[in-house]
Amino acid sequence: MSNCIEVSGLSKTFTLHLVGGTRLNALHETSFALEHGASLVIMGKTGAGKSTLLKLLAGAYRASSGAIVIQPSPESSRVELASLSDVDLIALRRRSVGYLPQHIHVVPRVPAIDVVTATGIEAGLEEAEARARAEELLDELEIKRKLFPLFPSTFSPGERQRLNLACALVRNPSLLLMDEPVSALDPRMMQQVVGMLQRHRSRTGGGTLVTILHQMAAAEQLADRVMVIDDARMKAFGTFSEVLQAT
Amino acid sequence: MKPLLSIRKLTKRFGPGCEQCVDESRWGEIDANACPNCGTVWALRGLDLDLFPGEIVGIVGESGAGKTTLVDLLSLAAVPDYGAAHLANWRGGLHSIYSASDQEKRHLSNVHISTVYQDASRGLLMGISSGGNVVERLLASGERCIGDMRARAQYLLDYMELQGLMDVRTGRLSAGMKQRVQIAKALVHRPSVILFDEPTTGLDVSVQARTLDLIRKAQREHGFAALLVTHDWNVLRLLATRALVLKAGRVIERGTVEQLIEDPQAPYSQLLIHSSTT
Repeated sequence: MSNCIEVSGLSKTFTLHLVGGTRLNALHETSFALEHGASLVIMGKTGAGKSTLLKLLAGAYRASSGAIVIQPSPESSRVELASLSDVDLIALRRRSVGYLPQHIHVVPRVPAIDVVTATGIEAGLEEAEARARAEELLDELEIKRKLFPLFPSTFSPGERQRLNLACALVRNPSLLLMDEPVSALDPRMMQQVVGMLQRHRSRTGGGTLVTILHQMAAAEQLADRVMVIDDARMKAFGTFSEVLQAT
Repeated sequence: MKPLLSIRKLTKRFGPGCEQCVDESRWGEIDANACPNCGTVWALRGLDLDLFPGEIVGIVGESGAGKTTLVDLLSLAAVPDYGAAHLANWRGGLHSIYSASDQEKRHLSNVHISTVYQDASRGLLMGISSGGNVVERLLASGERCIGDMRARAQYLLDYMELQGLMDVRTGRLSAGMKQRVQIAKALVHRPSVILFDEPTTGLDVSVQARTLDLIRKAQREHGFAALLVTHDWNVLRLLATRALVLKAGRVIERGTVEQLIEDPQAPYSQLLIHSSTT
């Protein structure tokens, strides 16, 4: 099977010019490959470098060295992220690579349903189709219908997280990158979201997931590959049992 | 995809320049607008940018960085010392807009490239009504049917949530309302490019949110491309997808808005982003 993600020798060092040019090594010489249709869960302590890796894969961070090659689906072309222009990177993100950040930026004064619908339109859906899909996703994520016309700034953290998840899924991306998508959810809702993500994979005909998770139960259900990152280095990569043995 | 507006080596200086400061290869070393040798002020130095259909590109930088000079040059309120800007839907994109005659320039800035200024008095006639301001742009392009022009102005003012203010003198409106009249006026000819020069600076938070929302809506529904000059990274995050960081008239960093906010590379970009509350 072909690879969705190929990462080789990837490093990220932040140079903090405002604190005397201090260099902060956030990710060191990381290499791995992930097949199409796989679900990778990244685990590790806070500050280990998990979000750095995810942001590099999303193109939100620029790599200090190494390469990231992405082929969102077997039918799409392979692209090296560093070689993409800003415009092409934005198009790739809109079209086929979804990214759900850990911290959510709420759009002011726009009703929740319109936030999700607009994201669908950006990804190329017709307005009616985008709205129907947005309603379906918000229903599935158990956002009450009476909240649809309200502004997301009035939502609880859990509701905002689900809204953000709806925005990521409405695009139907072939590759979905998620940074702690269930951190603000109760165990029952967490199960619901895991189920949705599995359904998303089958709906996209083998969509690829990369998810940062701290919840072992959710990780076991979602992952067919696990990566452990510690102190900016990849410590283990493989199936759940292989990683358990290695660590 | 072909760019809608293609800007190359756009440069504006105030002063004669000297051997030291006209040498492009040394611009990277210069950290201030004014040449220490001859005192020439370089407002913009060699700016290159492609603006694609339907996108909003942010321009950030502190006061004196060259942001407003760029707006003035693109709105044809000023002339560059050198450089070119090609608009794809004007003369097939083959000629720089700076080669246009005075009459063509008036047509370009009236119909193709609209501007929304921070200071509404630059974009509006305060002594006439909101509707009159919108209609004035239609009159300038040769339209004469009062009924049609009033209907168009009414539609756009309603679109900007300014119902019932068609005949109110613009000078009597609040700052947020004036900005929305400017946007209505900017939209009247369905321009391909709109230049927003700090459209929400000085507005209170709720008015700012409303104005930004209306800009988002108008951009989505009218499909124009825009340059957005702003100091506010939150505004940038909300409206733009790409941005340039300007310092002393020179582009020192460019990238997606996400990259510039999450991972600014240049010391000056880091200073700007860490000085804000984003």
